[in-house]
Amino acid sequence: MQLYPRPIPDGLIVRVAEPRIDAASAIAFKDAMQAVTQDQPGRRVVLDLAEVGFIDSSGLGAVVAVYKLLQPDRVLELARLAPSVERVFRLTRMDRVFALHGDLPEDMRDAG
Amino acid sequence: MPGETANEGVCLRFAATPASVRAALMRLFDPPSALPLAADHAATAQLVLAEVLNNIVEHAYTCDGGDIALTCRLTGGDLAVRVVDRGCPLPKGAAEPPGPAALAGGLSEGGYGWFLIRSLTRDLTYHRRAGRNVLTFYVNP
Repeated sequence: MQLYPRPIPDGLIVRVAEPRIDAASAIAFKDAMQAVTQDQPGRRVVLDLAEVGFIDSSGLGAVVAVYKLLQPDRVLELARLAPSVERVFRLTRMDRVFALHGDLPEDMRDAG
Repeated sequence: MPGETANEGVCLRFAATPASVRAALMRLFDPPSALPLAADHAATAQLVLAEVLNNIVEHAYTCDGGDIALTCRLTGGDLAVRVVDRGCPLPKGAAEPPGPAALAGGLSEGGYGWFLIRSLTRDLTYHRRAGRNVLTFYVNP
């Protein structure tokens, strides 16, 4: 599981350098996310999913598990979802739980 | 992974493990795809098949491993799927349509699989025959 975290002023962006978050990688994803977010200051954790082309319900469950791990002091947000990945979040109503961003926070600041 | 491609479809047989399920899905849906489907239909089909196959890995073959036989057949743009395994029977009602409470449980880490399968398929049938589970359905375009 290749995760690349980098700090932003109010938290952390974590780039997921994997094509799939599925039943074969869900546990590794959750464990790796726990490791990279541990002891990181800041309120936001933004998951950059631009390289992820497929997620199943096991992967979705792992993202929910990470969300719960970060509570109550930190919030997990999702950015740059492929259409097929975003659809899974919308079908399961998870778009009501997670903020889904088209761009990364720093890109939005540049644009503004 | 033994398999054969005919004009009308693809048959695969593979071990019921998460890694083998992933390899089967990648063979079916990663370029060059064994199934010529439109992008949206392929994305739906991959999600549905992932849920069906991983359910078998996690719930049907709980103790002993086993094989899964998957047949995907294209008929006039429609994708018909048949999945056979020799694991435990499905619990009664597992494949029934979800009630309105299916997603009402708040922030759960599981339980989305059958909801997705029922939402994205039609004419789903389940039979227990001679120690085998036989599931058939069409993937909605």
